Amino acid sequence: MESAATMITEQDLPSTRIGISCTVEPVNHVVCDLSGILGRFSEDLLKAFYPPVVAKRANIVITELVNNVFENMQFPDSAMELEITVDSDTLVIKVTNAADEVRYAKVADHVQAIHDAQDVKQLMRQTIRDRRVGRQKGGIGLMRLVAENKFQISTEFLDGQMTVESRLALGELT
Amino acid sequence: MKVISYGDIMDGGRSVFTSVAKVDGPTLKVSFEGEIRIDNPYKYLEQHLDELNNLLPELEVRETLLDFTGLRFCNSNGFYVIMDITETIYTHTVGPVSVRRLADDDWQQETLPILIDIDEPPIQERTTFEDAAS
Repeated sequence: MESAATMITEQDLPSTRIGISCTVEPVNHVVCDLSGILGRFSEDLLKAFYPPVVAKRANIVITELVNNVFENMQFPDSAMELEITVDSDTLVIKVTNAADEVRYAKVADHVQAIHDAQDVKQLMRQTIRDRRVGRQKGGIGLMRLVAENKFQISTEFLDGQMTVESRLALGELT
Repeated sequence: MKVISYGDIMDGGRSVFTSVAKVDGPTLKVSFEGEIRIDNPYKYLEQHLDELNNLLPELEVRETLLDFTGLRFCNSNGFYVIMDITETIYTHTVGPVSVRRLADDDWQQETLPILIDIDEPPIQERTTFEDAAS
């Protein structure tokens, strides 16, 4: 007689669908290390089902995208939304916040430059060198997600809300 | 080994990152441990950098080990300070530099060589990477 319960093995775990969403409003109430809290929590949760490399990459993306929101905050009373979904095929992390069209255009140009680069690691190397001279902040985080962590990034703008999406095909990682 | 300089980053009242430089004769070992997540790590490590800049020229270091295996996380705000420290070490020492790093850490495998400036021939000639398991 077959057991009613199916035996779950470690190999089954990376097919688990997980969704995490978090909204914080208003963003000017954030005085804690929010990117660290969300990044570590997500890494711990994903690590229970997926290989550590996937969980660590999620932590890095969340850290960089959430930090970008606070380093470029335009509307202190607005909200920031984080959405994470993962299944056996793909890890998707989206961060949405209020922005004006000028800010969105700047981010979209930056994303396009990353897409256009023949060698993203060389682009990152040069950008780090150039920006270090003036100790300039920003401009490296999104590049890092592509060059170092192998994510595909995109951005969109709708009704005053800018979303930056990072997508990682899990493939051989699971 | 004798500690010649120690730098740390405090966050929320606790130490979250340390950089410790030790010497034993002609050998220098610098270990990095913890996490760099803070907005301006340079503010915390400026004195450590000054000490390295002042002390290393006097020490006649001929062999260096940079150990990153205890560094669990580095956000992009931490890149410049890692460059500052490693540049100081390469500038004020001679001889081979061994870089210990984690084999399965994206940052240590992909970005750390860029921060060390491994594409520059004088750096490349002095540097070997040792990959360690987590």
